[in-house]
Amino acid sequence: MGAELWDYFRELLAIVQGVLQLNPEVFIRAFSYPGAMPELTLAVVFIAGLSVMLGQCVVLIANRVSRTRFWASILLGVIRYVLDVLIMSTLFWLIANLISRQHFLFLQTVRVICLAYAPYWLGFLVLMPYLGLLVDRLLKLYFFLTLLVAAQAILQVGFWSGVLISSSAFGVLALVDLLVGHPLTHLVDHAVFRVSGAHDQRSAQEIYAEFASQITEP
Amino acid sequence: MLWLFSQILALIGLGLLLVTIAALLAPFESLGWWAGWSGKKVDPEELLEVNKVVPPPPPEKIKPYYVVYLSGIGVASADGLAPEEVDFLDEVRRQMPEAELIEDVFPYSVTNNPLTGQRTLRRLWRWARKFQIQYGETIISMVLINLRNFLQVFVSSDPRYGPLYSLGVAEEIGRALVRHNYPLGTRTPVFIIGFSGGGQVGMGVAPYLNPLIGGPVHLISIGGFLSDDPGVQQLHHLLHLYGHRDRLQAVSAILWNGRWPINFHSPWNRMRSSGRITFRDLGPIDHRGSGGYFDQFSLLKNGMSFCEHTARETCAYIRQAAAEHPPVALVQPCPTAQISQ
Repeated sequence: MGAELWDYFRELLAIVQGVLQLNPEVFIRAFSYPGAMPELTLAVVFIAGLSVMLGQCVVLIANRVSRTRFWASILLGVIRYVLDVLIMSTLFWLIANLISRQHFLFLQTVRVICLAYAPYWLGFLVLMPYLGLLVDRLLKLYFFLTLLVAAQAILQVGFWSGVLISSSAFGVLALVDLLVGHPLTHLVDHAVFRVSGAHDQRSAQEIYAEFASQITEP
Repeated sequence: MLWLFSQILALIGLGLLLVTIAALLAPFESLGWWAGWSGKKVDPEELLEVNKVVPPPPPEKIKPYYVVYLSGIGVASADGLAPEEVDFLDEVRRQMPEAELIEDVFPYSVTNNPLTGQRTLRRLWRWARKFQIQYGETIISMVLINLRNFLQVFVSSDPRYGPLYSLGVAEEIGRALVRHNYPLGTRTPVFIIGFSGGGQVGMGVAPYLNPLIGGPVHLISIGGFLSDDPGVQQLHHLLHLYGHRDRLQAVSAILWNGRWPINFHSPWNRMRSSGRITFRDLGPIDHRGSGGYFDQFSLLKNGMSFCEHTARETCAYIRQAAAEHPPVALVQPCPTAQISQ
């Protein structure tokens, strides 16, 4: 059991290392062998989600949630993150089918997109004062690059076609998020808020602004 | 040779890892304070002590203006100032005996808790402080104390953590002012002298300190490591004293894009264009140590020491600015007089 677990982690780290080095072989391997690495790809997204949520935990702390609710909110946030990844994968799959006029298997595409989220393993670094905000932007750029390499590897397209597909996926995701995602997010947020114990979870800035106004009021 | 090179690389890697861990942990002191992890949650009502109005101090104890000194990053506690900082404060006291000089605020803690106070790592800080007293500024004190406080300066300037950090420090400054007989609600001016990182902390506290004491807040930054904190807008005026050999204060103007001249709509640039930020070149002065702002042995061409010159510029500004704020007579306890002693 221990040896198996060690092998599992070693393989997981090797995959993440490959993605971070922008090695197309990792994506090709995940794409080419049906049934290969399903739990590893899921682990990549789960850890990425956990790391991102920890990086953004300042909002939960500012809302002063209890310790139990803090971890419950983190867990729900991770589930929400995994759902976001699935939406992104579906969009990517639709666009890839549309542009290349080939039929890609849905699960294969999902596996590849999941791997592209590996840079977000470093999402916790966003917590760093001052540099954290820069790290946040760099991680978005890094994710775009891994997505680009993934697109090039599995679709066998050139650089600019890869840029077009990846950008389209990003653009459509933003549009879908605006039209459909917001009501859905409200539903999920409602669940998160219930768990976190805050009726109306506010950003840290909003809380401070209210605090400052309370001080100002005679 | 290759072995040595790889060992050096490994050491650099280890150092970077430790700095990253320290940076990740840096915001948690203020976050924990806010969230009440230490057992007591911060409550606006309690912070303001609405039902506990502070009685005005006896008139004979009231000073025409109050000066709060926020030290540089090299200190472990408010009572452990660097010898050169003590010299500077003595000089200010000598040149301006009519002012109340407050130096018991440790600006790198939201609860005014010194590094050597009640902390998990107090043994480490006490050891570092002892080392600092015994051997002066060494690599150990530089790495431990300076790095820790430097990271707190970044916490203060970060828009996510800064307001919370500043709120805690503002409360402590408010308490210190009351301890030193500051007449709340009389619009008696408060001057914050912030050296190095203390300049940034002083800028951050303005939005909270201003309404808390009910008086104008001025900041005199001495080689201040100033960010683009929007708190600058709540300052009555900011005087930035700098020496043209001081590279550190110049770096801060590059690090924060709100200070770049191209961002003319940033709070900093709006303040600057409205004339509420003044830059004053003190001459060929460095940040600290020999040739620094508080050096008593380096002399200007006119024979004045760097320390005396810095103190003179500081006091001249305070006297001139204080004349613009005649205090309002306190008839009854003011609604803003709500800080407990």
